[in-house]
Amino acid sequence: MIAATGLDASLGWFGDPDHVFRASAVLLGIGQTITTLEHLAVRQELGPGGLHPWTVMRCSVPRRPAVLERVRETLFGAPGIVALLVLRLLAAMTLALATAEALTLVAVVMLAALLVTFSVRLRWGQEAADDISVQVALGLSAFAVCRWFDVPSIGLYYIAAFAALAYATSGVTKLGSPLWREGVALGWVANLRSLGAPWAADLLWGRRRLRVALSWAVMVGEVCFPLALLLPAPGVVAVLAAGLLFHLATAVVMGLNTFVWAFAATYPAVLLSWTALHR
Amino acid sequence: MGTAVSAITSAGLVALFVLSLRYQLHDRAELARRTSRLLLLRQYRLFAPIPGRSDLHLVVRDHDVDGAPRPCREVSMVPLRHWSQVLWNPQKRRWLPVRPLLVDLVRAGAALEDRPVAIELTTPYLVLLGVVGAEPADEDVRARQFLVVERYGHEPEESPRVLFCSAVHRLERTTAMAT
Repeated sequence: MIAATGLDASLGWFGDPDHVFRASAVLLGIGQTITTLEHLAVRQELGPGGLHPWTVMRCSVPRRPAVLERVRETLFGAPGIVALLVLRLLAAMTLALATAEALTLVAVVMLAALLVTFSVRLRWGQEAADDISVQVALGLSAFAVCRWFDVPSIGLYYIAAFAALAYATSGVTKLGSPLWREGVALGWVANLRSLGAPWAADLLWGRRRLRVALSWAVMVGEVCFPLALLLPAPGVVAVLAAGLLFHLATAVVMGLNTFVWAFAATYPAVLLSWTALHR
Repeated sequence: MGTAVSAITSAGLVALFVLSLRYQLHDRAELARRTSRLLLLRQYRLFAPIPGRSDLHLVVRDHDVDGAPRPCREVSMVPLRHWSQVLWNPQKRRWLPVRPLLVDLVRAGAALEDRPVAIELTTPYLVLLGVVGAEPADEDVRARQFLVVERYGHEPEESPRVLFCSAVHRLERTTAMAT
């Protein structure tokens, strides 16, 4: 009882939207710093002979007025897109480190604009973590802009709602699939050369009960994520801890390292929503 | 001014959320029919309902001066799993686009089966042609083609299956290639 009261008090910290903005911004900033450095490490893929050559990609996008075409050519060509990546890195690092209101406002709005730009430019190769990061950046931008004008914003609640939508969609779709309910899908994913790991495939091979148990844990966890808001303090903490553990496991087994940061950046907003409901 | 900012940002986020919610309800066939104009929309199905069981590999085959084909070799995209990838995984940025690119190419190949020249003008084809063209080549190699090969992960008993085979393209020594 005492522990639960202490936990309630600790979660009270997330009742302050400014705290939540800061926590979410730091997590998003770290995740985007890693993501952007990864893009910079393989920047040759953005030029001719790479997987995202603008010389080819430009043929598949609609024509725009001449002025816009010139801007797009400058920004999306090989030198321009690398410059945008450097700008994105600066915005991400500023967001992770800075505390001044004006600086974080500029950084988060710039980061949101750049993330949307990159989702246009990189037609292939965007993962769900990248999309979630865009949504977090949009929610944080809305909050930061409104805070500047000292008016209320739904930005942080938008982030929480989006996290619930992403988890619930994934869980419901898996529940509807016999391959997931019977544990077959998990074995397939672990066995992939691209996304699996030989040791994980060996571990799951021939262990149907383990596969079924893990599959159901993932499905139930994802479907019930939105319901965490209704649980008492230990419940919501347990759900978020399980979520974090799940993303860490996918980082280890599947190499999806940035999912951890992208989804963790939504958790402070989930806790803000929880405190609003349990006030 | 502040009230207007609050109202506009709120309306924008609510609209985006409603559109995203609606987008989750589209089934696979519907998604294939209509591509979202708003690139912020995406389905969060994450390996559901049917996850990929196989890996798609990009394979090149060089041709000598006399036109004789050489053995196929894979364009290495997928790195071995390493613990450090939990924090830092730049190679992921190389293999993430490969599967959707290859899937789009195979789909285009099936749809334009009777028009091979049209396939060669699709974006995935041109991108992959550039990728294989940038791969190093021996001095006596004059032409190159690429294949999309499907393999069932680590299952040794399943033999690879060729899903797509490109035309043979003359290899320019400046690393660019022309048909």
